[in-house]
Amino acid sequence: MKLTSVFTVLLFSVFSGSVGAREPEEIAGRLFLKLTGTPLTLNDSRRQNMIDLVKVGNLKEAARIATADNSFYNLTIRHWGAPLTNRAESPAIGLNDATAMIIGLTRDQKDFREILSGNFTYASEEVALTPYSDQHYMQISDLNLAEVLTRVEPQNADLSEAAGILTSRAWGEAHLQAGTNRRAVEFTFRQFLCNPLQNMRDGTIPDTRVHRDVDRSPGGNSQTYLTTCRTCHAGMDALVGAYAHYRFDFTGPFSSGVIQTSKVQRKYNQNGEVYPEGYVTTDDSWTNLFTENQNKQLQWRGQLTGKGIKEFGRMIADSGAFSKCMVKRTYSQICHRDLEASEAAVLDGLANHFEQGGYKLRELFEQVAVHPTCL
Amino acid sequence: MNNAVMVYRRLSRLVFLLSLLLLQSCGGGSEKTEPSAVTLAESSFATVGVKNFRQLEGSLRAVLGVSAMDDEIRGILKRLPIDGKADKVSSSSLLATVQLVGAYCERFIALEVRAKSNARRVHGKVDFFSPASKFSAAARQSVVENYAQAFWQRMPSEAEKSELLALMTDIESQSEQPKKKLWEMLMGVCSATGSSVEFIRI
Repeated sequence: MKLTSVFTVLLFSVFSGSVGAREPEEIAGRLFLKLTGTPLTLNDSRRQNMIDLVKVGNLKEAARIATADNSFYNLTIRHWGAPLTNRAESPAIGLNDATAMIIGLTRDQKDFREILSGNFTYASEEVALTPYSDQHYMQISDLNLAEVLTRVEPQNADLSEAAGILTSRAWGEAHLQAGTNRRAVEFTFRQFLCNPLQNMRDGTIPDTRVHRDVDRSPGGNSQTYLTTCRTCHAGMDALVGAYAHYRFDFTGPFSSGVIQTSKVQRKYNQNGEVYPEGYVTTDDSWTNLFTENQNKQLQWRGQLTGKGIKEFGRMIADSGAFSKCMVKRTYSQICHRDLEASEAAVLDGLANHFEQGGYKLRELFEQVAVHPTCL
Repeated sequence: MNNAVMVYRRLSRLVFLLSLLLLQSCGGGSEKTEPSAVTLAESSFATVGVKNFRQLEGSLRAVLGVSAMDDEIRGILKRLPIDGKADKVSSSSLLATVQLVGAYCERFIALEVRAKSNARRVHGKVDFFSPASKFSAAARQSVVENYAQAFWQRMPSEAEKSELLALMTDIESQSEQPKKKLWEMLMGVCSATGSSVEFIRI
């Protein structure tokens, strides 16, 4: 017997044996696999229940059985959430407080907009919580997170204003460390509106809020500022005030975390000599100027000015782009491809359903998994 | 490393290289020349991906009931596909997949050896303490069927069953260590079914 041909035949027969007519057994198995990342084994007591639901066309209820499985949270949601919490946008990182928040909100079926404004975190009672280090999450990383995570309020007793992930230790380490806090605004758009700043550039926005550290004539050429720098900074600098009271810093030899102060962080007004006539940050007010031209499609709703990080988070989460972004991310993970421009109706339909259902991430995953374009 | 182990590792690698070709062809755009690839691309499945590093490890844990997280496994996980898109699969990640399945199979079989026969998931009819020559045809068939059901959630077709049985025979004839022959035959079937496309795809 030639071993090479053994494996070749085996491989092909495995494929051809699995692509016939779509039986309820197959659909139930695929639904479970897509949502949990693990197979629905033959001796699993839930299997027949799922098959029966598929037989009567109740795919949504069948999907609900899958999302009740711990693997949905431990594997699927953890993998979905991790890239939102680090600068490299990698899912292959250790557990952190921000990912735990995403898992917890999904499991508890909370309004997912809380992720950008809620005063909470998720942790395990089995290990002492350490708000100024990753230690707690490193210790519970291999535990059954679907069961051990419990909601903790407030997020951090030292913060008078918390805003979900935006004031988490992981987000702070990624975006509030040193720098100017502009990266935090950029990544808020990138992660929660699926919109890189590059796509939001708008030369028509007045530059009255551009900070003093931005050279108005880089290399002696004011046109560079007007046609390039300003198109981003005019809108971004007007929003960065939201983070004005926060920085990520070391609180001890082996501890670090998000620090909130009552005054504007010094880094906001540094390098004032570059352009002394520029905007000086005196408080944590912000205004959204990314509202015209291509940015209309972000579908802003509610107030476009505010104070502090919580109001900023609410504005982002209330936008139509937030809902669509959550759909895009979910679709990409569950269906293994990105939604195409020609599928705008699918995107709109799923986003509307997400909003009307109260922004439940668990339901969004179920809805996407049973969508005819994905199943 | 003895010959038999090298044989099944080499062949597992071949399986994955073939898998990669098929997955790429179903991703669209490539010329479809193999009948099986055409079948897959034209099937009712809207999308095909592969398990990411978390899903693969979680699936092995679910199917084999073994929790094997240690430094060796963590090291392998770093080389597995980060996301499930078929076009992100690399030769290195495929080889890591084979390694991971092998590591889990090794721990699983060791666990089965210690369990009473009626408590075993796959090897209920196997006498681990007898030589491979006493490994009966009925017991071999049962092992093949049980592994297929564990990894694929279905009985193997007659063709698949006969190929897997032949694989065991090949390993048996090539193994140079009589005392390890049975172990190597079981590792061969476990690794082959566990690293098949049917198990790694999602």
